Amino acid sequence: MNESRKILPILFLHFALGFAACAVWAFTRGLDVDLLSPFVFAYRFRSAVIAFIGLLPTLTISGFLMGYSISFRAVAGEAVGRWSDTLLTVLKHAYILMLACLALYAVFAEGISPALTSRQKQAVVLTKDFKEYMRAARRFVDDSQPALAVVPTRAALQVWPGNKEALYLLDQIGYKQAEGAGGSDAKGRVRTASEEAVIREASGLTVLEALDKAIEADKKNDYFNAHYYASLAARLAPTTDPNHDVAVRLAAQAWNRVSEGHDRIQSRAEADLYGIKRDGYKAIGNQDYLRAYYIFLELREAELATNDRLGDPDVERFLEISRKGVLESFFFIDETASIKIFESSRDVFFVIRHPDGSADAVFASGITYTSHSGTDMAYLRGFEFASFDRNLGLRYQISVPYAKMVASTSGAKGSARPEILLRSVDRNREGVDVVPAVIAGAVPESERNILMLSMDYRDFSLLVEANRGPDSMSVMDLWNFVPKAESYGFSRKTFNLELIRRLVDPFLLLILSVCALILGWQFRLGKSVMFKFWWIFTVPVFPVLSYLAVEGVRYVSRLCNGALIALLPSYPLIPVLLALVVCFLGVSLAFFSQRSE
Amino acid sequence: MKNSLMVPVAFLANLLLWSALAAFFSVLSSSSFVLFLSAGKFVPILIELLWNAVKYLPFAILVSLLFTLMYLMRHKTLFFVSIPVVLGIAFASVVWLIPLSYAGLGRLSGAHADVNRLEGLLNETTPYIGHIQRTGNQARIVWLSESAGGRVVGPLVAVRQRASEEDTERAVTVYKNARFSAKAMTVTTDNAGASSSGDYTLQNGASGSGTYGRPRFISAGIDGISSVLDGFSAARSRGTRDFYLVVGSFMLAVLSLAFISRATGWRLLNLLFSCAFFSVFFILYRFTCSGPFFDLLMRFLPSSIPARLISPFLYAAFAALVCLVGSLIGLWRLTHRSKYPPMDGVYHE
Repeated sequence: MNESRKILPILFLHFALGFAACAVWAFTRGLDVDLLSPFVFAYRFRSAVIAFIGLLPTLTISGFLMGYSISFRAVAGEAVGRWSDTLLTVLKHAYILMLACLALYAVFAEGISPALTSRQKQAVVLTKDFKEYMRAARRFVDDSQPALAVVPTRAALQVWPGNKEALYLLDQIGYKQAEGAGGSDAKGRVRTASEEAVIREASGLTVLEALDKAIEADKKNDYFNAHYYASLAARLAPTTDPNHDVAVRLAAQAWNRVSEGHDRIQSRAEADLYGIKRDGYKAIGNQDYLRAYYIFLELREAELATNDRLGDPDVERFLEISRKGVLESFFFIDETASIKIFESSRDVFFVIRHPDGSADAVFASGITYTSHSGTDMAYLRGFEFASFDRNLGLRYQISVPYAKMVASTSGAKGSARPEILLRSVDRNREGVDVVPAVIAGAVPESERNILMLSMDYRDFSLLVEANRGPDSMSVMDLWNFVPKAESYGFSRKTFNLELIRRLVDPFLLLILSVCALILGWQFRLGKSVMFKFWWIFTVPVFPVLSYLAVEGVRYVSRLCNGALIALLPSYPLIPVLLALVVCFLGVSLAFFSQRSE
Repeated sequence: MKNSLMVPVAFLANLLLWSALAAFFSVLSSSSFVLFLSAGKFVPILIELLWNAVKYLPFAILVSLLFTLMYLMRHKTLFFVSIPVVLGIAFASVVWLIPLSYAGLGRLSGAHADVNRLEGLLNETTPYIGHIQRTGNQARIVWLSESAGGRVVGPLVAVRQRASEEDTERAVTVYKNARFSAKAMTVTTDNAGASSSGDYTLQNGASGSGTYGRPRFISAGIDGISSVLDGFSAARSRGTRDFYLVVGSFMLAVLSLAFISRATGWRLLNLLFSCAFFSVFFILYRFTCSGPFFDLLMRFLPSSIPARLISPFLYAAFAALVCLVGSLIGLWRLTHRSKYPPMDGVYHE
């Protein structure tokens, strides 16, 4: 006999009715969150799918219970002994069906459900953002500051493209700007030299290559480049390398030529230009890239304004070099314009406990992940940081509206660490900086612009997930985070409990399915008892009671897991899995050992 | 005959099982359990297990009786043997087993009080250092060290919940020191080293009982069981007659489930109906002792009926009704035997 095949229609009927019930619930209930109208349908549909996934175990157990209770009617009159082949066959087929249902549930619960939940949260956040952008834009328009209203209006339109109100507001802003109320033309703004600068790949030269380039430039009388590459070769080569001395000599020679060049120039204008270039170059040499950047930017803009846009190659090259140098220590203020809508997490808080007893507290109001030229980075809005010494006295506390985080591999251990750039500068105007506000204590010179967090860069994304709560983390993330939870201020027990809960859930459902099989056998329909029509009305009772059973068993399992974690904090998983295997074997044997009464 | 004689065995096996389960899970779900376990104190756990086994004995008896009825439904037994056996078990439970549990509770109360005292002491020394805690006002706090037995904590880092995204005030406040009360689970900060002071009430205890997320229906079930057991206890304190009336009527209601367990030809449905009615007995008990429904009944019933007898009256009335309807249906089925075969579909002579 193959009861498993017979129960399939009942199982599918359960799934179909379950999804229908979830859809009715999702589309008829009042929304408990504020949503923009384009998000409502998708939100409700996702709610239905999430609810259905949550109910899947209940529906499976209910389907098993009801289906097997009815299908066992076929053997109700037969004498079935203990350990019979009949029951073994049933158990074998039931296992296959259970595993198929569990696999389906695991894929849904661990793959689809978290993604949908994340989309749900994003819809709520975007709605909030849209309203805030519109509110801010209206306020700027009312205050006759249309230029400032452009960014929030455009951000609002990114959230809800085609929103009539936002489009109307944008038109209004355009009219107001056209009237000459003030501010720059947001639509037809002239691109600055810095924006036109071509982003080039990092050189990645070897000592010999840099030396070759220096010699080549020297031959062409391009002494700035000759000095630059010779200096680079000198930096790259160790002092024991004979090339180091050659590079130093070549750099000195080139610099003498640069210095001589100024004296040879007869025209005053050319002499001034040459002097400025030399100052900029000196700044690069001193690694004062910010100063060099503004010097070469000014030169480039002057060239663009006067010439036919054919720039001095020296200026272009050194502008690019200084820009790259600037971006190693700073970031541009305009990078953070309207990135708030792309924030993936908010209100992230954690502490870092160091082995020497010192600690740091880190907070970010919002985090936006992005990547540039294959490098992952993140912008941290409302970044706040407090550092404590080994006696846990407050060293300093700072706060900055935006910080930029990149992975830094410099330093020991080889693993990447989060490097936080705290100071943002204006792309075009010198002196317009956003620096961290010092709330308490004194910030050491080395940590004023760049903060290096003493943690693995990969842990940062784990911490972001942990802040959302253990239930929103994937099993792999939980697995990686549990051993580190304590060092970041999170309860290891809570995350361990969640990890074990997620790992044991399929086993629990498997055990419950076998229990349903046992109940189906023990309370099977009589041989000659016809299924009465009115019994159909009792069908909803089965999923309800299955739900109570599933949730009850899950709760009991959580209690047991909590006790095991308290008893064996280091290795709680092994006894839990052992207990589950014993339970599973126990219920399987209990089914197999049944007989007809 | 064999199945009939197995009835007391089935009852006793169930009684053992349900007593053990009730004791085990009530201890497991208590906040004290994890504290004792973490502190390696196993004797208080054993005392608590014993206390809860005795405390929940009346409940275990009632559940065991229900499962004995299910056993009777599933197995062919001799009517004139099994019914007196079940009635005997119910009678012995009311007059002997349940009063015995209350006497046992009295004996264990001293040891139980000691365990409670120990729990209070352990609670006060619970370490919270370095753990981010959520507070009642949706803030998050963490303190990095503590002194004076955990009463003074600091530095304390508090992150407040922003009112809105437009709120650009800084979220993090560092307090040099704060006072922690383990009993009230509150942290009171002072102004030193911070621009503002504040009080924070922790959401969950260190035992992490909040993290288990007890489902609401389980809480409702536990409340129902507690209200029934409290009702039995209150009746016992009023006198023997009241006790027998309250416990006896409840027992009759449970016994009446024997009819419901044979209501349909589908055993599974009978099981579900019986369990559902059994749960309802517990959940509705408190409404038969006080509340709007009770007040309404009092208005309609003659004033000569004492208020304390309303609940036993309702349960006895339910039992009587089920017995009457069940007996009538049973008689009708006997006379229409060909149309309504036995549950297993096989006629047995």
